[in-house]
Amino acid sequence: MDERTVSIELPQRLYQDLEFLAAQDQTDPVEMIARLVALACERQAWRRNLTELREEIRRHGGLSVGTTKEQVVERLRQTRRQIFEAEYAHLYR
Amino acid sequence: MRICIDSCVFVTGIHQTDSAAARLLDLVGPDLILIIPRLVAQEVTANLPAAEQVRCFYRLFHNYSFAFIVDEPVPKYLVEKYIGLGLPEKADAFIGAFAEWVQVRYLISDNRHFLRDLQTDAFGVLDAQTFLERWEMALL
Repeated sequence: MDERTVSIELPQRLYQDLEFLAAQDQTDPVEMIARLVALACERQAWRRNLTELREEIRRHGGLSVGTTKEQVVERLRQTRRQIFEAEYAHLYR
Repeated sequence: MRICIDSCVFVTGIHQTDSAAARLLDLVGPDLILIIPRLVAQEVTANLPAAEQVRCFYRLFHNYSFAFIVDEPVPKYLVEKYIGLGLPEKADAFIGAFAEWVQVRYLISDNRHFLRDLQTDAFGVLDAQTFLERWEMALL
């Protein structure tokens, strides 16, 4: 395990908030920072994945689901009916 | 807060990047946990024409602590309940039942059958624009 450390200065108020959060989670400020950083990384990764998906769709010329909200809803309702009937309906007869 | 996003909103959010639905998807994270049934995932991917798009979609639910696809079938009694609560089509009742079953706070949909006809206290039903407005004003 890498145990090199750095020292940082925080505004006192921020450190108090950090201590409070850590106490609520029964941990220490360093572990609290590690958890917050992990969550922020996860969120960034989600946004990256979302951007990749949107880019893929754009590169292929968009989706054929209609242009208005009503058209999209109707298209997806048709899709829902088909999939539900084929794969789920037997569970709910 | 846990939310479920209907397929019509999901599809809009991934192909109309200036929409309220897109901004909603951008907000998903530790404070806004997304839970969808397998049925919604199937509906979205059925409308993605390229295999790479389908792979990208499923990566959104791979190893995140705030985005989940639930495979288990919704209990039959709950589906029957939601037929009685204003969703006569079983496929819609399934989505309503799912939202109660996994205890989401809001179902986000543009489908008027949910927005207008569903009568339940188990969760709220909002369209993406209204949800966003309330989220940004901390009214949820």
